[in-house]
Amino acid sequence: MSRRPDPTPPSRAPSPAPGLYVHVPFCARICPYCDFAVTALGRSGPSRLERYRRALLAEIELRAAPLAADTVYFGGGTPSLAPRGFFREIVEAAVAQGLATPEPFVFVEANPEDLVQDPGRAARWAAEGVYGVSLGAQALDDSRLRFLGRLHSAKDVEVAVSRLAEAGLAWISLDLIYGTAGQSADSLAAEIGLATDLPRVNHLSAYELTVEPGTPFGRRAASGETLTTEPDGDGLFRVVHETLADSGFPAYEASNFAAAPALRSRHNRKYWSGVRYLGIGPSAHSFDPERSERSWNHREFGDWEAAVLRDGEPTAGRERLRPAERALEELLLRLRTADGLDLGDFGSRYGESVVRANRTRFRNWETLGLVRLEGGSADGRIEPTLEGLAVADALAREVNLDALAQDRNAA
Amino acid sequence: MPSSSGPLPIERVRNFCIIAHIDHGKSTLADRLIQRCGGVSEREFRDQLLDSMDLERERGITIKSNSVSLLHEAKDGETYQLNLIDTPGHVDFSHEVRRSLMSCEGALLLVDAAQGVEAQTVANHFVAMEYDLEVVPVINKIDLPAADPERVREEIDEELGLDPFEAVLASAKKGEGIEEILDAIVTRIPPPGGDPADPLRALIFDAQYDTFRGVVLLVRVVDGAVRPGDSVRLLRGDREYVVEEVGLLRLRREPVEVLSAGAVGYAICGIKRIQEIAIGDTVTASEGAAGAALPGYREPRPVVFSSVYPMSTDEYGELEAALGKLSLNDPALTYERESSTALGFGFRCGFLGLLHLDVVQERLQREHGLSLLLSAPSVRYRIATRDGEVHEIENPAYYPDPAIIDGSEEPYIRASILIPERSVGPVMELLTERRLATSRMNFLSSRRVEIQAELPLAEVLFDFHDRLKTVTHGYGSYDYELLDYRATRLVKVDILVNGERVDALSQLVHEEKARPRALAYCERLSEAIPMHNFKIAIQGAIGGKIIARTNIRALRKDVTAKCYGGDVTRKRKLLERQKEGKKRMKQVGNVQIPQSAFVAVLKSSPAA
Repeated sequence: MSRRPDPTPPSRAPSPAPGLYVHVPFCARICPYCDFAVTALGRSGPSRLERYRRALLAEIELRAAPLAADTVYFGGGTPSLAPRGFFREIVEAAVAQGLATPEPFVFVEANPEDLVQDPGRAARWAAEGVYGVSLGAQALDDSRLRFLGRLHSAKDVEVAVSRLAEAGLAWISLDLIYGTAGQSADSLAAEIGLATDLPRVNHLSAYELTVEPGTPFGRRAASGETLTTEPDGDGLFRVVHETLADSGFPAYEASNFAAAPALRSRHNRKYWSGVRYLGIGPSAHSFDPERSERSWNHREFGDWEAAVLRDGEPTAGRERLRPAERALEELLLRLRTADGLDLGDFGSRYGESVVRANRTRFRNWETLGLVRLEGGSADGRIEPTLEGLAVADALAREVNLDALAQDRNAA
Repeated sequence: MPSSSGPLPIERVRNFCIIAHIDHGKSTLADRLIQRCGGVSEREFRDQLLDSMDLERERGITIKSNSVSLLHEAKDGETYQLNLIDTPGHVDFSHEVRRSLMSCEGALLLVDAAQGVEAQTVANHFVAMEYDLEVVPVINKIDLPAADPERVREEIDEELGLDPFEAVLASAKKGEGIEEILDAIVTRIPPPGGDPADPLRALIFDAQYDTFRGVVLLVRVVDGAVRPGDSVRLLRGDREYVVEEVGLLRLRREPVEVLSAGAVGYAICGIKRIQEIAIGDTVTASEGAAGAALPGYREPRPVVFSSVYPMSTDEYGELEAALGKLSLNDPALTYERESSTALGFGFRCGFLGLLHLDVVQERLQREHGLSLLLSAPSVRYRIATRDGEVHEIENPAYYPDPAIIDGSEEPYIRASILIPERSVGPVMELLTERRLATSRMNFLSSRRVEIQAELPLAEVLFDFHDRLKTVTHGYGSYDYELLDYRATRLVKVDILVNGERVDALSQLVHEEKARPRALAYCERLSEAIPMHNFKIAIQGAIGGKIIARTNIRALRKDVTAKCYGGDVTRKRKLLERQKEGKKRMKQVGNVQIPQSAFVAVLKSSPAA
């Protein structure tokens, strides 16, 4: 596979081609805040990875269909733990089964230490056809990195980025976690400055630390420990957005920032815009807009492996979305994005009455500075302002979808 | 036990009631007297007798009077008919108390051996004296560890002017002193007077409803006699009825041939609807010269008002039905439909006082299973407008444009407050805070003081009872009677949420109280309204003038950090649950106000 030419020109809508997500459910160590479907690789690492590879190839065969995804995203977990040739092998298998177009955009999530420990890794990935890397930096401050239970240092992030840049990867993104206890607005702005100053970094994802029940952080918080910054309104959220916008990384989603419209995540945008995607591997989710269906794989590795190899059916559950459910999803996802939602289009798909029932509400939002209404009309595009983006969930919740709920009952 | 029935000669009839401060043991004593005279088991009268409503038993007060005829064999060997006429035990029902007293010749004045004489004891005693009743003091609960009968004797002497050595010591709970009380009723309370040959005049002091027989009038025959077949007229109703049955109020109704002057009993006259009669009305013969009406009736006049809304708007019909049912037996309860933008449809209700309000609220909730929201209690104001008219207004919604108001008046009360001497300072301070007009102090004994205070009724509706108890360390009590209307400086305070008036929270208050009251409401509301995705200003205003303000800052970031791996289902389900919760809120402008916020703001209405 050869590297793709320069990205296609920016457009409002993401590529309508489907996406393929591959979940890699292993980490060297589980971070204390993480509640994803992952297990730590112990001494049995090599044999577990091999079992995973075999089952994944089996799932690809089971899933064979003319999906023709133009993005393949390896998420985790820690895909950077994958053995040599893994990405190429999986992508080629997917292409062979029709799941992906030839030469898709391939993205990999990586931990900095994996790139530091193995200096040749970045170049090998590039050779395997990897287009972009999302680097789990999380912080650029050693004490925060220790607090987050990470195995790398701030210096490692710098080294990892330079290796990716040297390998010629076109898209380099950093993941950051903010809002850890004691973090001030100034230190956060300074850390963001360090991230954006790293050469060739052209994308950032910044997530506020969320303490999830059932994680080590969840237990520590339950016993009274303060792990996050005290509620300070939307203070740090604003710092992140304003600092990044000033540094040339405007937000295009509540937690995602790109140096140029063309550098917006080609894969993740599919989730937010109702494009079809297929997820393979443990816990992976899929969406089929034609059938209005969401489905998901078994979450635990063993369950998933058995389902694939023994039953030939990796899907653990599925649901058909009723119009009100799908409309709510669309609202909650699109109102997270800077591009917002086209109300005319929304009305044509869900009924004008839904838009009509909310016109006053949308105007109120505009008066309150939460959204911009394109052309000042409640029939065009509705785009959240920064204020609105901060409370996107609340906005989605407030939209009156009763008209659709009635349809549902009638159906 | 005597088993004879039928009317005894009038010399062997005694009509009496029990008057007492709340919780001094009236119902227990009544139970004991009935048990001693009727040989009834504990369970039977629990099921059938006084305080039959759960609510009454739990609160220790009798709301609706129930009466019973007892037969007692006295020491002289004769059998006496003792008619116990029950009385409601609270200041709100003072008129009902009076009506009961009018039917008696004597009263047992019950005083708690530990609590001693309280404000209501004094008030009740005055009323009994007004009707020239023979008062037998009974010191109850002498079994309590804290009982101090000697001190209470002193109080009875000094504060009530009764002979302390005539007081009977009793423990109704343990059945002690019951014989002595029965003896005192027979020997000290005079038999009723009245001439059976005079034209009929009987006072309706209560009524019951029997599904098969219709209305059952409970009457005290003052003059003349009444028999089945008689044609009678109710003076106020101006309709004639034929008496079907008269009788005594034993455990069950016990028919007799005649009820003569002095008798207490029941009469069934084929009255189908309870609305046709008025408690306190006079029954006369329809033929011949009807005597003048007995002074028993007074139009029940609500003095405390509150808006009552169902928590769930679809319970409005049930609320209406429940109020209709309650008002049948409770003519003092008034209600009219009103609507609020925030709370939907409800009723503006009138009550005799705070306790009455409390009792009605509890009955609606307990007996009818309704979940309710009540606005802050208010009084009825008189407002004179420029056009020379006077409007009676108890609902802020009808408050006229201040520009056309000439003057306002509000009701005043005379409160009788009984306190330990050392509490005089703090109580006077409390009264001054409550816009005290005048006060007079009577030193009842070396330790106890009665303050007679004139102050606005509205001032005791808000937290007064609790504050009095606090500043007197639990020893203060008060009673009040309505006096008159006096000039006041009234304003209407509105509560605005992001500039929108919340009509259910508007109130009429004295100018001086406007700012603190508005601020209290704003603060409670700002604690009870959840954060929104925008800043919310809560303001108190008089007309266009803002007098109080609090803010609810905007919701902190409310957007999930990550919609990862395409798992949108979980996120959507969370939002769906949150949306459901939102539906139960009331919308004011663009702000969602949960029911709990209204409850938090309005619950401040004190228990009486």
